Amino acid sequence: MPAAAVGEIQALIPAPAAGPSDAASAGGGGGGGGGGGGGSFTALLGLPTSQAMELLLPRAAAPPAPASAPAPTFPSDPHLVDRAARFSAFASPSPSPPPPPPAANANAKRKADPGDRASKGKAAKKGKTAAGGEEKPAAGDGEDEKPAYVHVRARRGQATDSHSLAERARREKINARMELLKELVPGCSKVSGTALVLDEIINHVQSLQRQVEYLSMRLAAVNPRVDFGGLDNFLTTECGRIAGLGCKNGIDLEQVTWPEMGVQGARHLMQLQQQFWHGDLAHPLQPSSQWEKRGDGHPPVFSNSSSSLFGYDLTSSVSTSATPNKQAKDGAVIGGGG
Amino acid sequence: MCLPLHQSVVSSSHSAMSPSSLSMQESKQFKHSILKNLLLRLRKGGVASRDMSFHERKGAIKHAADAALATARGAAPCWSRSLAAELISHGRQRLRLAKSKPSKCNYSSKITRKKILRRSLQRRRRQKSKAMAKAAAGVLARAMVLRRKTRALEEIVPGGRGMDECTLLGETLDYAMSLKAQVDAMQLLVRALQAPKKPFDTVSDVDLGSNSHGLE
Repeated sequence: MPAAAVGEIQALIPAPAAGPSDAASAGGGGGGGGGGGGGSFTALLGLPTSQAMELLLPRAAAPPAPASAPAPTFPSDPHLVDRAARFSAFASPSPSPPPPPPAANANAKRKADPGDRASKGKAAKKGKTAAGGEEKPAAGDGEDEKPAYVHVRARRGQATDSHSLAERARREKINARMELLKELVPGCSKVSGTALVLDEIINHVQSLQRQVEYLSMRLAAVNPRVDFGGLDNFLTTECGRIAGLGCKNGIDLEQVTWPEMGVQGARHLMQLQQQFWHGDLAHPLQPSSQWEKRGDGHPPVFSNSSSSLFGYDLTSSVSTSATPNKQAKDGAVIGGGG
Repeated sequence: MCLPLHQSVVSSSHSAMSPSSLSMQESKQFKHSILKNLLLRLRKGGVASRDMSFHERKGAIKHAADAALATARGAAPCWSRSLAAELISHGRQRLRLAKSKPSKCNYSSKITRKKILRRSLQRRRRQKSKAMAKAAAGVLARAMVLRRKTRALEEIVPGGRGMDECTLLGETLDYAMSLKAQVDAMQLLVRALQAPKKPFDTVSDVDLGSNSHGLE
């Protein structure tokens, strides 16, 4: 499993860095605390937990950019102490005593430890990271080959035993996800404090659920008037065409099988089609330009000799459109770090 | 209706979704698949003719919409599988009810009774939590408040019970995005179906410039 995971990770590493937006990278970088590209960190959180954990290992090794060389050049003593402490932490996950010279530092760390646990690490972390916490990737690189451990960079002046490390890793994950949620929920970025943000998230999800109820009520009210059978046939073929657009391009609209719905039904269909192509900005403009060329309102000639692609019935439409959909999504997912 | 739900949930493969990692094309595809699934289910479920009462029709449409969402999202997120399971059991329960008791007003009155009870319980719970939060403003109280909110979130997100906080937040993220897509797809459908019927004329009133969207 480690070899396969590493191979997978190598494929995933360049991809997440390419994708995400600036806001996401800023949020992820600020919330997560660095360790490589900030943007790729938020994409990393899209992965399931175990993969994200595994990714932490080679990710520390992968970016060679921060030029601080591993062993020789240390500007000052605290940095040396810090690295030594971390190195010893990596050597064994059990709480190891820090090296003798920085006695004061060790005392500070030990005192920090119960304090850390009591206040859940948040206040203490803020105080100590403000003091000097930069992330250094290089020191424990040799230790990163061990597959089973979770390697997390300890911040400066913080306890390095396994419990607080694991807890801190968990906290960081949770904070990063909260950042993502704050991005998603509108009007949440200015709210600070976990409780209020959670309130907003809960309200947002509840309002979305209520909207679904409301819209289903509206659909129920609308329903008897519309010839539902014909409408969804057309929409299914349209959706199948849109989904299958990746594999077949330039399909002429003449080949679309128009159900016999009469004029007003056709009007509905065309307006729905417009809505699709208005709402979907990413959709290629070719079909709508064909509408413009046509210029008039009536549907094209009802052709009995429709091509086999659009002549299929509904039961097979699921499978045939599911497959290209799946393939497209597979490619996109692999690219996006799924 | 149970079998297609299983099959589609298993076959759909879209897994990791977060605001940053999802491209615009993928989200459009997702919305389209929701819409397509919805229409398939609506047609198959015989919503137009069979159901008598408005309430039942609304329930069937909502069932179809949620099932469409779950199948479009696939089996990767936990909420999707839980939602699918809930829908299947709910559908079976309704079938059993409809077969055993021909009178349908019984069912709706049961629903309203349950809703009233649930709402009163929620209100009482909320009042109690507010009172307790005001009572002790310490670290422990804050932890309790947080715990209450995460529990509220657990109840909202399908399959949220018995999840740890971290995965719960991840699932909430995914669920919120998917709900937004579902709402957008349904709004599209509603707008299209409520377009006013104009008399047919030769001149093109297929005007791409005039957004005939808000015709409600």
